[in-house]
Amino acid sequence: MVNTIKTIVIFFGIYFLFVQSAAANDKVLTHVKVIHASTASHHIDPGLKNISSELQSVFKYTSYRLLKKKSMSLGFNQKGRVDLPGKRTLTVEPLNIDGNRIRYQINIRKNKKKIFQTKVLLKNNRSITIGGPQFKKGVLIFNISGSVQ
Amino acid sequence: MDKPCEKYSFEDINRYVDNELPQKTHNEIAGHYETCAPCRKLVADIRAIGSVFNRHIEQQVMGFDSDTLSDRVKEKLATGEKTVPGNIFGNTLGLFGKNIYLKLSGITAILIIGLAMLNGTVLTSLDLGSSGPSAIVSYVDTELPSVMIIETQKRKHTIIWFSEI
Repeated sequence: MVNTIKTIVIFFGIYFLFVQSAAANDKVLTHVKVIHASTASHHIDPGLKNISSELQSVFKYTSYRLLKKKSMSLGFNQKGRVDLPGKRTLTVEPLNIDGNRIRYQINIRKNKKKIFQTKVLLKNNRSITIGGPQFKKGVLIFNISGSVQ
Repeated sequence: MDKPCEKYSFEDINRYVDNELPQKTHNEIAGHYETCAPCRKLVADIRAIGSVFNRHIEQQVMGFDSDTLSDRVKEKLATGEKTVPGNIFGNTLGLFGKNIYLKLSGITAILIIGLAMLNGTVLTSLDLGSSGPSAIVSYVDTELPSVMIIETQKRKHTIIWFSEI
């Protein structure tokens, strides 16, 4: 009798764990960091050390300042919008899962006009950086990371 | 073969040899068997069997080595079943034996494989980071004059760089 109860408890535990895991895969936690990079100083915000070390291996910028940070729990085909400096807006939209990657539609508008659209397959728990727009003697950089919940 | 005694049965004689009879009956048989050949022979046979049995028992006891007893008990315990107090899994997963660590390892393996199956891949929740680029750019649409796609060497971080000018 005791063994039967134990068996039932264990299998129900495993079942609910799996169901919880499967049900939890319908949201994508998306973080967007808006960064101003320049050569004006040698300042790196504490929260940007990881990404700045990657960017410094490619670009000449010595200053990385976090202008804005936004976290969004998005369902698939749900758009998340981030207002950017210079009348720009960034829209991120998780479309689906492909293996261990999240397919994102990313759009940048300036003065309500689409200036850049891309689709990327972002690795779960990793990030992509999009940058280049000129801003205050430097450039704007957008770091977008996603993780399936 | 001698004719058995009609006065006392085998059981009476056997109990007499074992001193299990009342004193009065015991004395009667003692007086009787001296003059009764079948009873005398029966008493001799029973005593002979008893002495052989006792000798065998003594040999077994004498051959017993008390010094090795503790070693044999320890050996038996070491090779025998291991019981874990409060083992909540009991005999539920007999497949994995009775060792709690084996059971836990088995359950963990089942959980990881199950979760991996649900997520489509083993590495979904265990992203090791360095295999492949962080993002694969499958589509770009822009009227901007230049777009670059860069991958850093260290962590294979994907960068899309464009110019508005």
